[in-house]
Amino acid sequence: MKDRYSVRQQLTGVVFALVVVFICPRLAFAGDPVEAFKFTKVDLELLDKANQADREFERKGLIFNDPDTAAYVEEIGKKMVPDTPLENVTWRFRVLRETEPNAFALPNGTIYVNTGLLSLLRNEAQLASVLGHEATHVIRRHGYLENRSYRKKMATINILSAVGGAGGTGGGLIGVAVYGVLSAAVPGMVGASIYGYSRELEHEADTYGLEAMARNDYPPIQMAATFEQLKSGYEVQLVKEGRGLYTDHPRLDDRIKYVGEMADSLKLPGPPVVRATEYSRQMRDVMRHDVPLEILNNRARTALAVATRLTEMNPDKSEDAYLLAEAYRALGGRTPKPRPEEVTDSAKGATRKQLSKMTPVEYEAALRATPEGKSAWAANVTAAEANYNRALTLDPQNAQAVRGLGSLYDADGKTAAALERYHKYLEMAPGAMDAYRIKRRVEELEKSSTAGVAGSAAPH
Amino acid sequence: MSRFNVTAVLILLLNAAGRAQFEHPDLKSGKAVVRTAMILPPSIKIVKSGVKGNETLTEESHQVEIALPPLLTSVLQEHQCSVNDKALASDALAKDTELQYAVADLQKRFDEMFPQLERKPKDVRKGRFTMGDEVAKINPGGTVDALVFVRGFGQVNTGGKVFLSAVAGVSPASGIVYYITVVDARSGAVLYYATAYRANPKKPDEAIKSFQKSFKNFPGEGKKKES
Repeated sequence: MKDRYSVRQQLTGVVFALVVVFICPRLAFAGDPVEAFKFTKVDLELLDKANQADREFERKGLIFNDPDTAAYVEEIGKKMVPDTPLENVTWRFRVLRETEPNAFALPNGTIYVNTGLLSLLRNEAQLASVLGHEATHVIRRHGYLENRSYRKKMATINILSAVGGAGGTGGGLIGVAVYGVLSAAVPGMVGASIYGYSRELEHEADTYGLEAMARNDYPPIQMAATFEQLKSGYEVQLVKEGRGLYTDHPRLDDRIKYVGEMADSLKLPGPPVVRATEYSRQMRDVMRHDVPLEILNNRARTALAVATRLTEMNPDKSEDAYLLAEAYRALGGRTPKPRPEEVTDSAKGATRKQLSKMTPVEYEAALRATPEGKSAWAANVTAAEANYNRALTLDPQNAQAVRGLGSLYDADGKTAAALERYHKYLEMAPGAMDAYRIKRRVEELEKSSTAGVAGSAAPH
Repeated sequence: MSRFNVTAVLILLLNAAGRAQFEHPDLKSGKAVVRTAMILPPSIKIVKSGVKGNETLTEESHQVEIALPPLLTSVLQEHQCSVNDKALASDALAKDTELQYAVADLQKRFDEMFPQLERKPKDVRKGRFTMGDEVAKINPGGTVDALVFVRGFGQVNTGGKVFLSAVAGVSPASGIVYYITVVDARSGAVLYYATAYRANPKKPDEAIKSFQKSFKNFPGEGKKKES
């Protein structure tokens, strides 16, 4: 049920037929001119769905509406697409407020890049590699081809299932066996042929993406560097990387290998363009937006990594020191990097089990109650406090840092210190969006300290 | 068990889902009172299941999302609860990016808690579920008592799918289940959780009776009328 209702999954569901199909399509013939593509009624329906999905993302507040970021991503994206117009394609490049390091394209030409991916990438050439890859899915009409293929195969599955079902109803023992085999195996067998094309298709998108990079003087090897970045996530991966037939993309190690080999053979027409500094400058606001999102999505380790990069890029920026402090506070009972004991299969299994049974609040409390959790929390409090104080040294008017200190002390059971900071925050930012929430917390803490009882959970 | 029996059990379960409702102890005791509420933009997903696979009916889902708040408002009003229907209206959100982000993040926070809520709804009666006081972010001045989250999942079947299922001897499930959650707008505690079932996902107007039933145990005038 979680899959059905989480925002990310739900939106993925909205565009399921449009997006998921991209990762498992039948390979278009590389030599086919794209102009030869003939739109059918089914294709036009898919195009309409894609346009609806664009509107849906806007309605749900999932687009990062920063004009400078949008202009920059669009500038790079436009370089990676052909100059000649394509039928039923309007190129649009958008940033999604989503932490998963991912990007995808809709068949109508809208390419979405998540804030989580933009925060992970290191330079403009890497962004170009992502956009070039996604643009290929649109140019080669992968979505339409896969949609056609998917519909045909689903029809086969349903008809065979129905035949199997009828056999099961009236066919005696043999019928039951046929039903069982068909119902269980046939969808899988047909599914295998559906998903079996994925590697070829992604390979094609990588190939075309590399060529587009080279045409624009972006060193193609930066695509391999992008995959390396994707590989080096900061969180414990509770779900195994997709393997074999059911993987979304060819495995990253394979991609790094063949992209590296292809990159060597591509010549750049001019001097190489990487632009790490310019990219970092352009992405600062995206990263600042991404840190609280990572915290919200229980990805505090990623938040810490992004905030650390921000403070390295802008050591004198109070806002970035504050975000780093927030990330340390959000770590709670976790260490900044996963402990070796956390990444074993049994530990991952135990975590999955806990997460399925507990609410996020309960899980955090359970984590903090363990000896390792207590020790990690103590270290995180020290680091968070130091960074909040640094933020205030850099800008004494940073009200958020004052509130953060209050929340830190509150969560650490230092009620008097928490109250002092909360009062100060309310003086500094009486009209803040969360002023009422803090006022309420102050009342609770004052009431509980008068009664000599510890307050309930501190604000996040 | 024959396929007919399986279908019958499914219908019974869906009907039961239509009646399920769970109250926080504070709401039941009167310690928590809901006089004002805001309905967050509902999130509905209707899927068309056909021979050639499933397809999300994006536009139809959106139409249901638009139609639900006025219906819920009228049901809440029967329980002496006024609804602020302007603060989170689509035009208000379009004008205020910060508010739009705050609402989106709150929806995400709810969706993270929702699987546990759905799995153990009886724990609402133990006061187990909370979204944290972050919810107060969209409740400036604390003027609202409750936030209402609505989720819905529905399925319609094409004629071909129904025919093929009939050949296979099964009846494909069709209908929509709404999940309505009332959350304390100050503390984030889940105060009330109810489900409602309707046979036709595309006609939300018909859902009002189901909503009235779902709010049968909700304190207020409506309950008095019922009793």
